Amino acid sequence: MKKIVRMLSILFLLSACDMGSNLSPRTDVQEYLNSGDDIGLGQSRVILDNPIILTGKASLSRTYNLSRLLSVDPYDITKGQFLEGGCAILPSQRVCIENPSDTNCTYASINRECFSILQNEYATKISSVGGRWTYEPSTTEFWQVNTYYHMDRVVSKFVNNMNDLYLMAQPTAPAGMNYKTAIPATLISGEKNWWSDSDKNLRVFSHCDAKDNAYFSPSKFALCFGYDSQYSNMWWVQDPSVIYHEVGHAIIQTMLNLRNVASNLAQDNRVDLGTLFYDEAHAIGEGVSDYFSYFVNGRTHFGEWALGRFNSLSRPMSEDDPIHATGISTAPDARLSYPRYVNYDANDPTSNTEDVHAAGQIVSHYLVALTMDLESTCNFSTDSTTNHNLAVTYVVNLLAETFAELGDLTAKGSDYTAAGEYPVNLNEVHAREWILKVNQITYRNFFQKFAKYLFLVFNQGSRCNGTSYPIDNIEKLLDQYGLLLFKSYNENGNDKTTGHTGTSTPVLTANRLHTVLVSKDFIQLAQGASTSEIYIFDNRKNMKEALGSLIRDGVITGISPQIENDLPYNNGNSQISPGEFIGISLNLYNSSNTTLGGVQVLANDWDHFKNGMPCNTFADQFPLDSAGAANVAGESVPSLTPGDCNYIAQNNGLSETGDVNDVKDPLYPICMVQVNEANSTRWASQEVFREKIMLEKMNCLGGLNPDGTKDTKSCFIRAIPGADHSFFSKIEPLKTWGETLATSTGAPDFHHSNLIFFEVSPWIPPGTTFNCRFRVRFSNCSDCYSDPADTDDYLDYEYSGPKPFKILHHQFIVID
Amino acid sequence: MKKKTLIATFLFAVIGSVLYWQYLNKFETQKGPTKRETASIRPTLKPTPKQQPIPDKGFKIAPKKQIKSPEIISKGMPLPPTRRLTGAFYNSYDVGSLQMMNEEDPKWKDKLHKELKRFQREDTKVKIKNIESLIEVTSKNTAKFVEVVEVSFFVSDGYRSSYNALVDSDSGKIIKIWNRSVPENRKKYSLTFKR
Repeated sequence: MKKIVRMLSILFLLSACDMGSNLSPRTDVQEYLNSGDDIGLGQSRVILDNPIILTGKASLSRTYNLSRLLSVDPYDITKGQFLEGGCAILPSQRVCIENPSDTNCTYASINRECFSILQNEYATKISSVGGRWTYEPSTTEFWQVNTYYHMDRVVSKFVNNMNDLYLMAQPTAPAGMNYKTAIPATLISGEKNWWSDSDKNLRVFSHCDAKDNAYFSPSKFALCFGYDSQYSNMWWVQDPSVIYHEVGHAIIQTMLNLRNVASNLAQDNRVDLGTLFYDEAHAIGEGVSDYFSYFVNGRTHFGEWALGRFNSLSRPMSEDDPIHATGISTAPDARLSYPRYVNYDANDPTSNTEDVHAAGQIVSHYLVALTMDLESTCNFSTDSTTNHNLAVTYVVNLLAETFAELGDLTAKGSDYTAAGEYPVNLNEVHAREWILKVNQITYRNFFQKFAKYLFLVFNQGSRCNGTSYPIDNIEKLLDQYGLLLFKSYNENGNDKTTGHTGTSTPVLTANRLHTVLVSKDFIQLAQGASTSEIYIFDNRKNMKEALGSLIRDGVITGISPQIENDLPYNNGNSQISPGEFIGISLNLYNSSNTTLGGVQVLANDWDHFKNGMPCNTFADQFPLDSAGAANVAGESVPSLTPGDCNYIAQNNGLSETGDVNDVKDPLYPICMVQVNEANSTRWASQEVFREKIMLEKMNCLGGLNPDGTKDTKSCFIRAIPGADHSFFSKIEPLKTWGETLATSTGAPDFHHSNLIFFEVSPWIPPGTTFNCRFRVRFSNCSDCYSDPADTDDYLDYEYSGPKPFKILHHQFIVID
Repeated sequence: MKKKTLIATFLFAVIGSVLYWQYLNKFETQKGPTKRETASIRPTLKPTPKQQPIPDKGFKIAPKKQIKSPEIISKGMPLPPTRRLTGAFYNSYDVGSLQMMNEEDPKWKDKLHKELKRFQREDTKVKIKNIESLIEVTSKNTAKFVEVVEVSFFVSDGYRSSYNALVDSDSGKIIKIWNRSVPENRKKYSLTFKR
């Protein structure tokens, strides 16, 4: 049945796509050799798409002779000696290889190379044969040439796109058409339209030693296309849609760091999209990368050969793809919506696992639907000369604006932000932490930013066929996908001084029919006699494996030397003992009637203490005054005095006056300790407990403060930076996350992204009681990003405090 | 006269004795508590099952030193060819009062390698490639020597990962990470909770 569906989907797609006559299913079986007088200098025949699309056969044999798929006509590759592609835009940047004085030739600059093709990282570059690239398809050289052709398609299209974006976004655009853009003014003149750290050249390895895998490595600035481990002659480069997807990751990295590169920040000032095994930032990256395949070939399916043929992993990008389960369609009530379909796999609708590729499908489907709506509403068409689809161009431009602002480590968000103002990511000191954790990129803030630019670019001015693109179109389509997760477009940003002034256009509540926002009150720790509030993972083998993985994937930078190499204290009893390295997963319960999406748990330091004592000014009023709570007598609500419980640190715990020694409102770790006094017990900071038991500072877990002194605040229980937050895809109504993701065994599979990892000091006296205050929020939350009755977003500094979160406590005793 | 002679002799003997003890038998300085002695102040702990190694230099508090060459960090002065400035305060530090919080240790790379291998299988290879040496200005009056490196892991099952890291030039500790690789098939480590 699946084969029939796959065949039908292929035939459907072939009838829908418009890629030129050479891409129609071949009716003749004559084999073409990659030779002949018709192949000019710098040319080659190529294989224009993946074998399944070209043959129309969904069950194409892996032994099929791919040389039969050579194009009838030859195509331009390069007249250069090597397979090196350029991306110069301005005439001044173009140097013609044939004639250096000719600045108008079609071949890109040799001093502005953007990518080069090699077989693998150890190989040497191949050269043309008598000026022609006439290698046979049975050779790895041919596939390098073919890869070059497809790389040039996507890179040229993107770079030209960026040029269009630059022209559209500058203040010189006609009045009523210009807007406050995130695109740097030096985009073109400074050659910032492509990754421009020390090595601008994206190296593409067509036959990489990567089993069942392909990689984008930003540190090497390289793409690596591997092979199928079961079928040795099947290489991922044989599927151009996979090439476009992987380049999509490189393009995203470029867009995310546009402002960081343009600001000439040193190269350690770069950000990634997502950090955990599963988080929504990663999912967005996968969905946008899928869209880049559509960006090039206009096809709403991806990876038919490399992923689909032998592994059933190809992905649709539109609800009318026959591969979809019954009930999913382009009807407003039947879209692939968030968070319902966040774990949906079209190839196996019964599966229910957290996977960024599955979650990313919601993004790709929305982007394709938006593209089609722009085409029809604004009467955009394909330019016959450039084959440039205007709607696709604009969508990619909107993505560039969105990523550029979200990833901005200068925290300015635009070249046109006033001095001293930081509308995004708190400020330049804390921007990285905000982007990756505290206010990390999720479906909520990504689509809010995207919608803002869609609103600014298309609703204002006359870009939509001489009129404006209706705001209802913007909001209704987002709503159909469950992505109308924000209450305003937040044009005024989140600066502490200006974040509530200026314009913040509210979303029309009448347009929110499918997206349901839920109060954070409805998320709780599971309760019950036979229920655990948390899951504790301390099995030695598992935790060693976890540590190895967290370090390999760059999630954490390392752990304390107080924790021994072999984890000898990890006893696997699911309790917390001195000397252990553990993972904790909160057993979260959704008490509402709506699915909660994108649930995040934070265990990083935050502003909840005053003068070393815990504040009890939060909803749960813990601890009691008699149990050691900070004295709040005389505090106004809110307070203007740094350090008060009712004051939120405005510089995330650092000095607010510029004097590094003048810190009045420091942050504290989430875990506090019960200290036994002569006649009472009280809750106190770990530092107070350390002094009480007279433990030397050198025996504390914590690393070093920025000034080089030892961190004693997290002396005994320390959430490891990087692994101090966890993510859950969704929690269904009246269920726990575990019940939502239960497997056939009845229990869920936990991944490292579902756990927060802690070090437990070997110096803790057994019997010591701790209380940890976790902060929790989720993407479709009504009161996590603004006050319940308000539409304007919280200011960035407020994410150092309690307001945007539900605070969940867990107490535990450290046993021997 | 006799009395003066006796006093002089007595004084000579006293002084001579003091000199003898001070220079020929050195006074022992009082030692601080050893790790075992420190351990003994935990009244409720049972003896640990194995000997605790004394922590290595990883958490040694970096000495504060005035920069010997002020022109390295003066604003407007040409930067040394070996190290550029980075960090949040790279263009807003207090000239003349910047203190280096660490020293350059030629073995920083070995320390880093050891730390990265710490929880890896024996057959996992780790490669560290130097990219650039920098000075990170951590506040208006503190800075440290740091290195930008590329770290690559090669697991025996074929899995690869890589990233860039900023590393302390003294301790070899990683300060921050970026440019993490993006694989299509991520290595899954599923955990099942067992009571």
